[in-house]
Amino acid sequence: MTIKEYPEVLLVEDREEDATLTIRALKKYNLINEIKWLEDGQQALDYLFGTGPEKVLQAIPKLILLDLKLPRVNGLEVLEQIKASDVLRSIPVIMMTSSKEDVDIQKAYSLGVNSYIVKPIDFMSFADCVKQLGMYWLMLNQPPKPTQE
Amino acid sequence: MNINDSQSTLSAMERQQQQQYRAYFDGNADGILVHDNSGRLTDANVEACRVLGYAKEELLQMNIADLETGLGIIAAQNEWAGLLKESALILQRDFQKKDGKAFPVEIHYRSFDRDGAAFYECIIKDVTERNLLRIRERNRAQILEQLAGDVDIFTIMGSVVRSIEEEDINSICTILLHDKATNTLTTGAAPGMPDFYNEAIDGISVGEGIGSCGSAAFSKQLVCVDNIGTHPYWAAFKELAFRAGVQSCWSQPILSGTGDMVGTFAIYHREPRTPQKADLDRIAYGARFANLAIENRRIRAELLEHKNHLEQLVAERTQALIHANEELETFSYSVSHDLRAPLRAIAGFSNIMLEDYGDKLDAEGQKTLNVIVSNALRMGTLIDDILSFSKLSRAEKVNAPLDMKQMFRSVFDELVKQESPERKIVFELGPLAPAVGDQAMITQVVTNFITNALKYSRNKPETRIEVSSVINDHDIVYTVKDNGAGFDEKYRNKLFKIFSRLHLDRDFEGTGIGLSIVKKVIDRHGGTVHAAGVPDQGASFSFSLPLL
Repeated sequence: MTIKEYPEVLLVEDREEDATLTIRALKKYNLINEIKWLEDGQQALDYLFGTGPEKVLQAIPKLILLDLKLPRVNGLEVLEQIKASDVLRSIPVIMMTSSKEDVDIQKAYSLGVNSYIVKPIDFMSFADCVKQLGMYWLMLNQPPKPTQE
Repeated sequence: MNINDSQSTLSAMERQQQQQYRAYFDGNADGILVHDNSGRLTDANVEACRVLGYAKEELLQMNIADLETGLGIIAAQNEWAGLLKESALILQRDFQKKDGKAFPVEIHYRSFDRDGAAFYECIIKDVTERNLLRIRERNRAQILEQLAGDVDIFTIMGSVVRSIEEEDINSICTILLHDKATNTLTTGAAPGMPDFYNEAIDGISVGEGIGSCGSAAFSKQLVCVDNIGTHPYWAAFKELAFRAGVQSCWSQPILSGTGDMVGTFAIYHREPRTPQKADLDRIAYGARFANLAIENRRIRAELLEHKNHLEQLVAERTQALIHANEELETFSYSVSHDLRAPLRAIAGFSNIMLEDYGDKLDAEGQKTLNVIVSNALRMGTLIDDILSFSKLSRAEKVNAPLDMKQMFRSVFDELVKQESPERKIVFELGPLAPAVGDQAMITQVVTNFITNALKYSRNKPETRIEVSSVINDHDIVYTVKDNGAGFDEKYRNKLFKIFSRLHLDRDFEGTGIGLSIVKKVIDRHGGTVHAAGVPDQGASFSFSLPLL
């Protein structure tokens, strides 16, 4: 198993339109080759912890883009479990939401989110925002070496 | 003693003194007795005879000790008579009239010598009434104190009854309370009557001929039954009364200030008895005092009930408000999430269309898409503004000292960054007085004023913005003046209303929320907002903050 088998970016987003826009922006600037898109929090947890019915192996993406409001298990709950896991904790998690609500921002940071982005309505700004995110987290940021358990 | 001898030795002056004393003695309003060293009465004036019920001749055969009841203090007078040489003496004793009736007297004692022998003058005052008044005053003060405290009404009625009984030690008093619903009387206080009696009459009907109390409550008049044994009102209760040992009953209705039947106040005696004036006064006083106590406690209970009711009402309203607020919170939360997402899709996909299919669209088609995008963005701004407006009333206001000059300066510096570098802007910041207010909220106000000043003056060749402050008696007024588009003052009252605008969006974009946020913030600070303007010449906007 090589690292190539894993997607570089995991996108958890229940709205197809937002997912399309995000993927389009990331691809537009040639920031990624692979992206895995999941539609709700439970799918994301199954995928990351290898607990789903498909019994896939645990996947460790380089970056997780997480929407806040998700069906079944919401973004904050997913974030909490990721940050509670020794294996997954070091993956940067970017919360991308429509909400400017202070309570959400506070909660996300207290759970250890790496960035909190309020998605701009304007596509140009949105694309720019995704581009900067991708550049920083996928290219500039230096993650720790994966440890052998 | 030889009177002729003594008279012959008196000087003219002494004779005159003696005549003066005689006039003082006989005409005195108080009774005066004189006795010798052994207590034998040697003189008595007219008033003394009247008070004691004896003829003067009878008194002159008696000893002062014969008049005294109880302990023979005066009988032992010769033992303490020496004291009288030094000073006057006042004694409180009980005397007995000729008919055997005892009454309290106050005796002013003084001694004098006559022909070498000691005599004693006793001025006697009947203090029955004074003593009763004292008892009444003392008891009244005590009961009023109970009324002022938390003592329950039955205890207080008991005190009222006991206080009247103390004024006439042979009497037994009761209070019955009127029950409006059943038109009956129930026992309020009757500590002097036996339990079987109280139980038997508890709940008797109001009606003529139903004892003294039932009749008094019925007629709302005083009913005095002098002899229970013979009076028709008591025919049905005679045996009961005899078993309880009472033979007369006078009952006074207790009426409220508005004339409503409250109950009855009754005085019983163990023998047939006709009320005297003092008795009638006493029973009326008892009824009045009972009413005062009952009314006081009724009002107190009503107040308590009102208070509890109000408290409950306030609690309910508060709960409803909390609930409404929570709903509003949920609402604005979902607005901020759910309304924004479709807008992003509209704007985003219009952009995708422009990027991917732009070459297939003519100029009109591209313009159309741009209109879609710009309107989606405008709606986004509108949502943000509405949310911050609604959050304002819920946000907690935290007062802190504010450096207003610093605030205006940094807000301007921040906003001017967004302007094109070619724009000519003169910003005159006067010496501003510091204020007290919520940092975040007042910053929002300042931001709004400066934003407006910059926005509405952007078509001028040179923008001038002046900020100044004036300190008044009770507040500080901050004014931002610009040389921009201004406004027609006849629309001034619309300026601070939410969603209302005085300019076309085409000329100056906006949501019509900014100034209503300003007003809300300043209202919450206890200040006022003001605007003045001339079309095309400029506007000045002010807000005041109270001096704290």
